[in-house]
Amino acid sequence: MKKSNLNIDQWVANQLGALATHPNQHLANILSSRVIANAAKIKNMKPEVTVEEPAPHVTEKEEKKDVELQK
Amino acid sequence: MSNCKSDVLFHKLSAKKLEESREIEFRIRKDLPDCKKLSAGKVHAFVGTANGVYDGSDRPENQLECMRKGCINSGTLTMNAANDAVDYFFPYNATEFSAGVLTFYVKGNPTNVTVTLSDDAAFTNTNTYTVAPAAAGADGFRVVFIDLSQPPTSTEGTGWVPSSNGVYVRVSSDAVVGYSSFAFFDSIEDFELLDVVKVACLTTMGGSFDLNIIEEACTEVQYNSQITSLNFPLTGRQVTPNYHKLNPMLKKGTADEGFEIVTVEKTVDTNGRIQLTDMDMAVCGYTAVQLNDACDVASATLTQINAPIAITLDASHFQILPAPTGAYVYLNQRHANKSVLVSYPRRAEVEEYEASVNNLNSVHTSMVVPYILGENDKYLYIFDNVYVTSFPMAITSDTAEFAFTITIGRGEGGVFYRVLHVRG
Repeated sequence: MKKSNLNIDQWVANQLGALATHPNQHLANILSSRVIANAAKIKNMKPEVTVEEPAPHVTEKEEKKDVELQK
Repeated sequence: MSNCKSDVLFHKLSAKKLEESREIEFRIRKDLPDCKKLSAGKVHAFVGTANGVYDGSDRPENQLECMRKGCINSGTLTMNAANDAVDYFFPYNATEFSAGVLTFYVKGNPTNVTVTLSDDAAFTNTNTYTVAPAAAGADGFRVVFIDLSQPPTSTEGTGWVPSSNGVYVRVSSDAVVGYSSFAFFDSIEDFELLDVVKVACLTTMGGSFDLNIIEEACTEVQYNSQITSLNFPLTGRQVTPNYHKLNPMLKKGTADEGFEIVTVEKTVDTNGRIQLTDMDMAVCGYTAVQLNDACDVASATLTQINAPIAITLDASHFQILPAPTGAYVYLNQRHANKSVLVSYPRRAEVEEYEASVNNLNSVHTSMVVPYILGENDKYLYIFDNVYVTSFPMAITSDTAEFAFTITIGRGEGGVFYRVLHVRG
């Protein structure tokens, strides 16, 4: 199963880094505020910003087997 | 013979005179900036066994702009199979649109489209957005609109680090689709494309539309169909606050800090100076100093010495030098403890507009004019292509009027205007 990962702090850092070199600093300031606000919204919705799906070696079948054994 | 006389007439309508409540509406439409586009045919690489066919004639209708016609979009790359991915390289400075918008069209019925952005062709450090496209237009194309100021669905490695070297974009979809007309925009503000301006309390509205008759040898007298424009003078006493947008030369600038000129009364301190903490030092000139208690008004206005270091000043001179906050205005020691009037540029929050001819043809104006005949007969004249050729700047001590000259050009299909008879 493919790993689904969102490092939101890294994303904000990358965005602000790029905007620091933006040729229109007035627009860059507006966009920086927007990026920070949008990141905060996501963080408030999801306390854990790094989401990882089950490791690839654990298949659905194996998980079911574990449940049956426990019974 | 009274039976031969008749004074019965058919019912008719008369035009109602202009009343205060009547308004003329202008719609001002800007074009989307279109300098960071890429045709779907310019494939950088197909991923794995993916493949596709490009058809340059299969172009989507423009769904991003109201009323804009013409060959705005390019052709379509149709993929062979669902989940096939294709890479593009955009050779533009990605720091300019890293928090902007990416748009393109898909043809087909996908649930989701996945877009991955990276600074490297191997897609090691990426941001991925998985989005649902908009509803299909009449031509079957759907717009994909990705706001890059929103966090992505997922990141890999260190995430996309936008740079001036361009950006690689990988696109795939959960259905067999075609891709078309990729474009990056610097910010969502690029989509602020429409404004409405109203002119009311009208004193003059329109004139007459004159047509010429021509008579050529061996032909009948006929109308001259070569007219290119009609004029429509318009004067009103009220306008909406955004009426400056009717001026086709004005374009919003980038500054949000500026100045206003204010005059204050100050007392010169014992060092012969005045501190103006809110003075805008970036603005040269505009500062004037006048002695407040001088009997001789003619010699009360001092002259500025523009020197970068403090110098010994005559009684008729003043000098401006930076202070820890704002500026100091230095005067001759003789003026210590005296009252002076100082007029200077004070810092202020502003919205800036620049007038130039560069902007003239990227703004399109249309106008709706109501003509009212009788109680229930309203005719709306719709002018789809008007040009403001004279913009009012004069203000008199009389009742202020805003006088515009409008030139009406041909719209789509050569039509100058349309008339809607509104029956209620």
